[in-house]
Amino acid sequence: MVRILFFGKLKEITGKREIKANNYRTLNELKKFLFQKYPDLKKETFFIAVNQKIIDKNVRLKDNDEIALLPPISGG
Amino acid sequence: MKYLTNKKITRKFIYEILNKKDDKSGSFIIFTGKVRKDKIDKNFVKEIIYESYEKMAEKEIDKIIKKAKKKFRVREIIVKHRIGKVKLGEIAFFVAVFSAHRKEGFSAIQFIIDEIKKKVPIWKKEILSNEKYRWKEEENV
Repeated sequence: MVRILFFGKLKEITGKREIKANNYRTLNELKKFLFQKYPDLKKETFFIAVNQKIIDKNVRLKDNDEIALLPPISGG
Repeated sequence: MKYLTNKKITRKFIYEILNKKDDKSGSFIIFTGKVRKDKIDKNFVKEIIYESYEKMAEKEIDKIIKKAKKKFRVREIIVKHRIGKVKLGEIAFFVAVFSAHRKEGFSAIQFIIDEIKKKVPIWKKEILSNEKYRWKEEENV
Protein backbone atom coordinates (compact mmCIF):
# COMPACT_ATOMS: atom_id res chain seq x y z
CA MET A 1 0.00 0.00 0.00
CA VAL A 2 1.17 3.54 -0.78
CA ARG A 3 0.04 6.90 0.62
CA ILE A 4 -0.79 9.74 -1.76
CA LEU A 5 -0.71 13.31 -0.46
CA PHE A 6 -2.29 16.36 -2.12
CA PHE A 7 -1.28 19.95 -1.49
CA GLY A 8 -2.56 23.46 -2.24
CA LYS A 9 -5.09 23.69 -5.02
CA LEU A 10 -4.80 19.95 -5.70
CA LYS A 11 -6.15 19.21 -2.24
CA GLU A 12 -9.25 21.22 -3.12
CA ILE A 13 -9.70 19.37 -6.41
CA THR A 14 -9.55 15.94 -4.80
CA GLY A 15 -11.32 17.07 -1.63
CA LYS A 16 -8.74 15.11 0.34
CA ARG A 17 -5.38 15.68 1.91
CA GLU A 18 -4.41 12.04 1.74
CA ILE A 19 -5.57 8.76 0.24
CA LYS A 20 -4.20 5.24 0.26
CA ALA A 21 -3.92 2.94 -2.72
CA ASN A 22 -3.14 -0.70 -3.34
CA ASN A 23 -1.99 -2.72 -6.30
CA TYR A 24 -0.18 -0.09 -8.34
CA ARG A 25 3.26 -1.28 -9.24
CA THR A 26 4.54 1.83 -10.96
CA LEU A 27 4.12 5.59 -10.76
CA ASN A 28 2.54 5.66 -14.23
CA GLU A 29 -0.08 3.12 -13.18
CA LEU A 30 -0.84 5.19 -10.11
CA LYS A 31 -1.08 8.39 -12.17
CA LYS A 32 -3.55 6.72 -14.51
CA PHE A 33 -5.68 5.71 -11.54
CA LEU A 34 -5.55 9.25 -10.09
CA PHE A 35 -6.58 10.82 -13.42
CA GLN A 36 -9.52 8.42 -13.63
CA LYS A 37 -10.57 9.09 -10.06
CA TYR A 38 -10.05 12.87 -10.26
CA PRO A 39 -10.30 13.94 -13.94
CA ASP A 40 -9.81 17.62 -13.05
CA LEU A 41 -6.22 16.83 -12.07
CA LYS A 42 -5.43 16.53 -15.78
CA LYS A 43 -5.87 20.29 -16.18
CA GLU A 44 -3.37 21.12 -13.47
CA THR A 45 0.39 21.54 -13.52
CA PHE A 46 2.09 19.59 -10.76
CA PHE A 47 5.23 17.74 -9.76
CA ILE A 48 5.40 14.37 -8.09
CA ALA A 49 7.62 13.52 -5.16
CA VAL A 50 8.24 9.96 -4.05
CA ASN A 51 9.47 9.82 -0.46
CA GLN A 52 10.15 13.59 -0.54
CA LYS A 53 12.20 13.49 -3.73
CA ILE A 54 10.97 14.97 -7.04
CA ILE A 55 10.67 12.20 -9.63
CA ASP A 56 10.21 13.01 -13.32
CA LYS A 57 10.19 9.51 -14.75
CA ASN A 58 8.30 6.30 -14.23
CA VAL A 59 9.51 4.36 -11.21
CA ARG A 60 8.57 1.15 -9.47
CA LEU A 61 6.59 1.71 -6.27
CA LYS A 62 7.28 -0.07 -3.02
CA ASP A 63 5.07 -0.78 -0.04
CA ASN A 64 4.79 2.28 2.29
CA ASP A 65 6.03 4.75 -0.32
CA GLU A 66 4.81 8.32 0.20
CA ILE A 67 3.72 9.94 -3.05
CA ALA A 68 3.04 13.67 -3.03
CA LEU A 69 1.38 15.78 -5.73
CA LEU A 70 2.88 19.27 -5.56
CA PRO A 71 1.53 22.34 -7.36
CA PRO A 72 4.10 24.90 -8.62
CA ILE A 73 5.98 26.23 -5.60
CA SER A 74 5.20 29.75 -4.42
CA GLY A 75 6.91 30.17 -1.04
CA GLY A 76 9.02 33.01 0.27
CA MET B 1 10.38 21.61 12.83
CA LYS B 2 13.71 23.31 12.50
CA TYR B 3 13.14 25.82 9.72
CA LEU B 4 9.36 26.05 9.47
CA THR B 5 7.46 27.76 12.22
CA ASN B 6 3.89 28.66 13.02
CA LYS B 7 5.02 31.33 15.47
CA LYS B 8 5.64 35.00 14.70
CA ILE B 9 9.18 36.00 13.71
CA THR B 10 9.68 38.77 16.25
CA ARG B 11 12.14 41.62 16.71
CA LYS B 12 13.35 39.80 19.82
CA PHE B 13 14.22 36.76 17.72
CA ILE B 14 16.17 38.92 15.25
CA TYR B 15 17.87 40.85 18.05
CA GLU B 16 19.04 37.63 19.69
CA ILE B 17 20.64 36.51 16.43
CA LEU B 18 22.25 39.93 16.00
CA ASN B 19 23.85 39.55 19.42
CA LYS B 20 25.34 36.15 18.70
CA LYS B 21 28.99 36.20 19.56
CA ASP B 22 31.21 35.21 16.67
CA ASP B 23 34.49 37.07 16.54
CA LYS B 24 35.38 35.65 13.14
CA SER B 25 32.30 37.03 11.36
CA GLY B 26 32.84 40.57 10.15
CA SER B 27 29.59 40.57 8.20
CA PHE B 28 26.01 39.88 9.27
CA ILE B 29 23.29 40.18 6.62
CA ILE B 30 19.58 39.60 7.12
CA PHE B 31 16.69 39.37 4.72
CA THR B 32 13.05 39.55 5.77
CA GLY B 33 10.21 38.85 3.38
CA LYS B 34 6.92 40.38 4.51
CA VAL B 35 3.30 39.97 3.46
CA ARG B 36 2.66 42.74 0.95
CA LYS B 37 -0.57 44.65 0.36
CA ASP B 38 -0.94 43.55 -3.27
CA LYS B 39 -3.92 44.92 -5.13
CA ILE B 40 -5.99 42.40 -7.04
CA ASP B 41 -8.78 44.01 -9.07
CA LYS B 42 -10.62 46.12 -6.49
CA ASN B 43 -9.37 44.17 -3.49
CA PHE B 44 -6.10 43.74 -1.65
CA VAL B 45 -4.26 40.91 0.06
CA LYS B 46 -4.97 41.02 3.80
CA GLU B 47 -3.21 37.83 4.85
CA ILE B 48 -1.53 34.77 3.43
CA ILE B 49 -1.98 31.20 4.54
CA TYR B 50 1.23 29.29 3.90
CA GLU B 51 0.85 25.59 3.34
CA SER B 52 3.81 23.24 3.20
CA TYR B 53 4.82 19.64 2.68
CA GLU B 54 6.73 19.89 5.92
CA LYS B 55 8.77 16.73 5.80
CA MET B 56 10.14 17.55 2.35
CA ALA B 57 10.49 21.30 3.03
CA GLU B 58 12.72 20.71 6.05
CA LYS B 59 14.94 18.36 4.04
CA GLU B 60 15.18 20.76 1.09
CA ILE B 61 16.09 23.76 3.26
CA ASP B 62 18.74 21.68 4.97
CA LYS B 63 20.25 20.73 1.60
CA ILE B 64 20.25 24.38 0.43
CA ILE B 65 22.01 25.54 3.61
CA LYS B 66 24.68 22.86 3.29
CA LYS B 67 25.21 23.71 -0.37
CA ALA B 68 25.47 27.47 0.35
CA LYS B 69 27.96 26.93 3.19
CA LYS B 70 30.18 24.90 0.92
CA LYS B 71 29.83 27.13 -2.14
CA PHE B 72 30.33 30.51 -0.46
CA ARG B 73 32.33 29.52 2.65
CA VAL B 74 30.07 31.48 4.98
CA ARG B 75 30.18 30.78 8.71
CA GLU B 76 26.54 30.44 9.69
CA ILE B 77 23.11 30.48 8.05
CA ILE B 78 19.78 30.83 9.81
CA VAL B 79 16.49 30.26 7.97
CA LYS B 80 12.90 30.53 9.21
CA HIS B 81 9.75 30.30 7.13
CA ARG B 82 6.28 30.78 8.53
CA ILE B 83 3.49 28.33 7.87
CA GLY B 84 -0.18 28.91 8.62
CA LYS B 85 -1.77 32.33 8.74
CA VAL B 86 0.52 35.37 8.29
CA LYS B 87 -1.01 38.84 8.43
CA LEU B 88 -0.21 41.88 6.31
CA GLY B 89 3.15 43.36 7.31
CA GLU B 90 4.30 40.31 9.26
CA ILE B 91 7.54 38.55 8.40
CA ALA B 92 6.93 35.35 6.49
CA PHE B 93 10.46 34.49 5.49
CA PHE B 94 13.73 35.19 7.29
CA VAL B 95 17.33 34.48 6.28
CA ALA B 96 20.49 35.52 8.13
CA VAL B 97 24.07 34.94 7.01
CA PHE B 98 27.25 35.37 9.05
CA SER B 99 30.49 35.50 7.11
CA ALA B 100 34.03 36.79 7.42
CA HIS B 101 33.48 39.35 4.64
CA ARG B 102 30.40 40.95 3.08
CA LYS B 103 30.96 39.75 -0.47
CA GLU B 104 30.41 36.04 0.18
CA GLY B 105 27.60 36.95 2.57
CA PHE B 106 25.65 38.85 -0.10
CA SER B 107 26.22 36.10 -2.68
CA ALA B 108 25.13 33.42 -0.21
CA ILE B 109 21.96 35.19 0.91
CA GLN B 110 20.84 35.79 -2.68
CA PHE B 111 21.49 32.13 -3.51
CA ILE B 112 19.60 30.87 -0.44
CA ILE B 113 16.54 33.06 -1.07
CA ASP B 114 16.36 32.07 -4.76
CA GLU B 115 16.82 28.36 -4.05
CA ILE B 116 14.21 28.29 -1.30
CA LYS B 117 11.67 30.09 -3.48
CA LYS B 118 12.35 27.62 -6.28
CA LYS B 119 12.74 24.28 -4.51
CA VAL B 120 11.02 24.21 -1.14
CA PRO B 121 7.42 22.92 -1.26
CA ILE B 122 5.54 25.87 0.23
CA TRP B 123 2.39 27.41 -1.24
CA LYS B 124 0.69 30.75 -0.72
CA LYS B 125 -3.05 31.05 -0.34
CA GLU B 126 -3.77 34.77 -0.53
CA ILE B 127 -6.80 35.92 1.44
CA LEU B 128 -8.31 39.07 -0.04
CA SER B 129 -10.17 41.96 1.57
CA ASN B 130 -13.47 40.64 0.17
CA GLU B 131 -12.82 37.30 1.97
CA LYS B 132 -12.20 35.47 -1.30
CA TYR B 133 -8.90 33.73 -1.86
CA ARG B 134 -6.55 32.63 -4.58
CA TRP B 135 -3.66 30.20 -4.71
CA LYS B 136 -0.62 32.01 -5.92
CA GLU B 137 1.13 30.03 -8.63
CA GLU B 138 4.16 30.14 -10.83
CA GLU B 139 5.45 33.37 -9.39
CA ASN B 140 8.95 32.03 -9.08
CA VAL B 141 9.64 30.74 -12.55
